[in-house]
Amino acid sequence: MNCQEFLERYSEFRDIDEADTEPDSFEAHLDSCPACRRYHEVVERGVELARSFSGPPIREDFEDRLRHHIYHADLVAHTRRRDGSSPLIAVALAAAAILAGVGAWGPISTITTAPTVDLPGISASAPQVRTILEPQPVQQSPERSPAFLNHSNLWSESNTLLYEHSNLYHRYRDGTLIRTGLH
Amino acid sequence: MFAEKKTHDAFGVIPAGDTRKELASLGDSEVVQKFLDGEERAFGELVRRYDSRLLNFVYRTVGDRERAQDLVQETFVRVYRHLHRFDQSKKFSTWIYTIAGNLAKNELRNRSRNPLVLFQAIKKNWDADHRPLEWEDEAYKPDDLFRKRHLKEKVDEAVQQLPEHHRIVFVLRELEGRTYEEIAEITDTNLGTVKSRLNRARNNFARIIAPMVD
Repeated sequence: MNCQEFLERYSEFRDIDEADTEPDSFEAHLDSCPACRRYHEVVERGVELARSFSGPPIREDFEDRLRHHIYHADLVAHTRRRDGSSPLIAVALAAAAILAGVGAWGPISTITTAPTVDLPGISASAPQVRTILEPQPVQQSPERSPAFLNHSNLWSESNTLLYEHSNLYHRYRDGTLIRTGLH
Repeated sequence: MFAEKKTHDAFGVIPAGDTRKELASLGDSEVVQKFLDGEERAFGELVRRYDSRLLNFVYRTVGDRERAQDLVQETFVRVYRHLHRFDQSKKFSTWIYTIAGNLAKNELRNRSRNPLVLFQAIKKNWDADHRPLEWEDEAYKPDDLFRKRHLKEKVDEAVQQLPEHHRIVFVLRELEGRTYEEIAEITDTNLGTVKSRLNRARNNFARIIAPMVD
């Protein structure tokens, strides 16, 4: 047996109870090879150390928490069983859902006993708007007026309303009313 | 849960001295049967038998004390809820270790979802599986005082440095004393895989721990 074979089959030697291997060949190699002997010692010593160090202690509240968890697990399981084993509840819920649907359906929900009252019709007419001043097109020389002012529809009927609501219009109108004594 | 001073627990009345001794004298399968027969106190006996062992196993596997406590709690909750499904022709200890091992593996899998961690884990696993088995004593010995002070951490670190699939079989075999068949069942692998992983795990462990060992 050489060192490579020893390393590859080391577990057979170490777990002798698990393998049907004859340990003599391993023992013979260990006797003759210091490196492999060292390897075996390191594994043995390392494992021994690992075993000797106890792991983390169980937390003080471990038992209380486990009780709590199991209680909740029981509760959830019980709730599921209860919900799952009661067909009457499911039937009642289905019936309630059907009734709610029927109640929300228009034709049935409009059947009411509220009295109806006939009232005379109401007619209304829009108030007349009196235009005090008609906007007058500004006479400007073509070379001084901007191009958009020469647009044919700028002061047309459709723009009157827009003009009447402008700040410029109100300022002119107030001035006119004061001057004419109509204020 | 099961301290004498308490009178009740989640599983019924705390066993009086005689009852507790009686339960303690039974084998696992008999305690399980007692629990299935309605003896709630038997569950306390199972917890007493396995809490520390499972905590050691899970802690060595996931390397996080707090998380290990939580996973052991979860293991017992699952045992409590599903004990009626346990195939009593098998060993209870293998079953409970399988549950704990699966929870630990899930924990490691969840952690490895980080792409960087995943890449590092894949690389580590590949290296560990494909590195030729070799041994040379580096004869490097750190200062004695330092070595003794940090020996425990170093041993723990050596176990933690093993890739996950090596670490589980190493812990189960070397620290928990499980047989190859049990390890194969717990890890859901075949015997050949267990042997191969165990051999590589020992080789890696020896290389890491060698400088610390006289």
